[in-house]
Amino acid sequence: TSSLREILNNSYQLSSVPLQLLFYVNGIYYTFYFLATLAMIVYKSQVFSYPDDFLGPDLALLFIMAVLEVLRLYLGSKGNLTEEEAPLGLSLVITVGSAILSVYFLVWQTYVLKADVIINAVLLFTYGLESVLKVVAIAAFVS
Amino acid sequence: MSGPRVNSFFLGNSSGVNFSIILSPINEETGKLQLANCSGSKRAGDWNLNVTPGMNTSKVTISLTRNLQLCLPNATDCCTTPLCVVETLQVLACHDSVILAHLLIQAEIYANSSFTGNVSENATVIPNQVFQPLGSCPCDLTAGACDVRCCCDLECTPDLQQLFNESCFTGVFGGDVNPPFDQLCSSQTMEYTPDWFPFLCVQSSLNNTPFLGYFYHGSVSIPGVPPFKIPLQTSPGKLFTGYRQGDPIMTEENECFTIPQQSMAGQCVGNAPVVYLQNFDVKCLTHLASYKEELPHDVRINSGTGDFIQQNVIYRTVTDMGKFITESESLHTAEVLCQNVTFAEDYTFVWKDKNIEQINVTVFLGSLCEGEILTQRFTANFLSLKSTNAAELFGNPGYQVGKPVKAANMNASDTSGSLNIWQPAGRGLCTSATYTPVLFGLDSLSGCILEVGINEDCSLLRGNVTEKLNSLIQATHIGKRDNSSYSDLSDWVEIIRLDPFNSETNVSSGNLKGICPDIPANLNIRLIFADVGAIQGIPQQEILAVQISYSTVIWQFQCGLTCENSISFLPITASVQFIKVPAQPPIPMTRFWINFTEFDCNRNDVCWPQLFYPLTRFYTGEPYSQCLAKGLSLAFLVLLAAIMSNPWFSKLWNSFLV
Repeated sequence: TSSLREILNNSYQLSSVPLQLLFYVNGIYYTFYFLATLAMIVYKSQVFSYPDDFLGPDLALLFIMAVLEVLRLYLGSKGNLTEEEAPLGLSLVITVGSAILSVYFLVWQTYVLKADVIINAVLLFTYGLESVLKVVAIAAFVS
Repeated sequence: MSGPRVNSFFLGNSSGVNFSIILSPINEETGKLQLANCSGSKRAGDWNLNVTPGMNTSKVTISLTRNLQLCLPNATDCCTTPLCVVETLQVLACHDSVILAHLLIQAEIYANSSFTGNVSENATVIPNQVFQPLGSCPCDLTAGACDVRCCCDLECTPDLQQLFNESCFTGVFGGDVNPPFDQLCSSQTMEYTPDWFPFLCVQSSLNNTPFLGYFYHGSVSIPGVPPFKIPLQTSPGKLFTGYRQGDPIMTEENECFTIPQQSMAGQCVGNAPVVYLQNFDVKCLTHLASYKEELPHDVRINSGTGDFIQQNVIYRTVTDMGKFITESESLHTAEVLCQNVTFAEDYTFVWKDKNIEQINVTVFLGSLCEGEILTQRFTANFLSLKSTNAAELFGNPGYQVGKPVKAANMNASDTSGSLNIWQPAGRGLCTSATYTPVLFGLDSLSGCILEVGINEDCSLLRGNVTEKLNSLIQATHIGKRDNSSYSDLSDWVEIIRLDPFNSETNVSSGNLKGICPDIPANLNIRLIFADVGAIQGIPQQEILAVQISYSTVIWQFQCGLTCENSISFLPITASVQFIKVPAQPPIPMTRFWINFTEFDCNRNDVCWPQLFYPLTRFYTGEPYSQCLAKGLSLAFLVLLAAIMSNPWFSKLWNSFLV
């Protein structure tokens, strides 16, 4: 009965459930974000005219961001579930890079549409929340 | 005076006069001129005084003796600022301490502007004009200073700018080279905003507008000018194989043999080639001023076998000048310039098979005087060695365009007939008109004018007109082919005549003076022909039927102000029309084509080529790119569904999400 209570007390599990939830939601949302941004870049390239060699960097950064996101979510999810701080810390570092890229798409892109502003703002908010939860989880694992 | 030297003159006797120069004689407090005394010398500061005495006048020269080069500050013996010398001098002429005259000089001298500084090697980088206009601030007109009301001027300090901030220049002159465009979120001017506008409006700054790069790049002229050369006449290889009908006749120098002929526009051209087996008879108008010497008749003609034959020329003088010359209304003076010119040339080409055997030319000469108009006549005839009549067509029994239609009068003893239309002459009256034969393949319309009096009897008029028009048709049969023989009736088609409806009963009722109804004034000749086959690849044309009908008009006497003129005009016309019909029924369809009608979109309900549209491009109702995009996305979705429904994929997905 005491072991059952301990198990029910949940004191042995350090993995953060909200963080895992956030990873799952982030994955779905990022798929939507990637397709939407790609579609909008295609739309902008047809409707507006880009100065010399501005379209290439925009597209390249989007694909780099996608790769980073996949890596980040995998590492974070693995670190959280196996209760190891190393992959989680690496995921935190990659989150910083992804956040910078998101800021690029929010402010420094060639043409920023209002829809761009909205989805990037949501993404940045998600990153912020994730970073907080990751720090908490790392603190829990370390101690 | 400009420059460091100035001259002046002292009038009067200069003996015993002392000249002196004083620097800055102005009282600085009051600004008044100081009274000077005669104690100066001929040098003051940098200034020199020189006097050249003369009889009654003396020349006085004041010169500056310092270096006027611009140099760095704190250097010596040169100018530190551009405005080098600002001084006031006074020149005094004294005699025994009494001032006789004084001259006031104010000098403002700038340094010599020869440049001795360094030239900067930095080139100003000009941005790409397509994306950044060069004059991004057009109102920045003065360099190094602030332009008032120009808010984009960078030389304006912020407190200066605050002074005129409310009244800046607007538009492109004020520096607004990127006007706000419609897709901006902040632009409120559009009345029609699309539904998606709140999401897809542009939020970013105005530096990147959609109008960037919309420049006309101009068209690039291709280097290498196309050669505007007239290609040399290539000598046809068929010279050695002989002439065929329609080939131009070539001379020894591989050029076309030319005789003046009538061009399509009507006027005569001098260098028209002669076509093998094509006769012509042209009349050209010319007068003395524009008379051109004809080609000399010593040009040798290629006979078709490779050797060249000489023209046999016979010169004759014209006997009947009236046929050729019409005199214009100019004065006949005794001394008129006359010249011997060619009035007519008759060429006869004797041919056999594909070669020319002989060329006989008869040239008629006569004298043409100034003021006369000459009608030159050039004829060419191709005679076969076999017969002396007009040429038989070599291997081409069908009608050729331009040949006269063969007609026969089977009812008369002399079977040869003719089918003609009017050839008017002079004023166009029917009394002076002649006939010209109907030529195959050439639709024509011609007519002449009949003079009718006001008291003309209508039935008499009808008869007259009908008789005149019937005189054009002196035949009952028309030959099917050009070589129809008079003895074989099957070679001929009978003319179908629709005679005018002779209404005798209407004579009494319609007998108003000056109006006659139902005058058959227009003759219509319709010839129906067809392609009946081909000989040696040349399609043969035969006449299948001929119909002659009459169209009626209402003739009305044309009065002037009063009906006093006794004669009115009635034009009568004859028109020829050639109608082509298919002589043969359509070729029966083979079994292959009957089986293949499944793919015939016009006859079937199901049109397979159009159904598989993006793969086969027969349908034109939808843009290809749209249909392709839809098809590809559909294929992508199908592929996605196929992959995702695979159990292997769900295993991979689960392991991915850990």
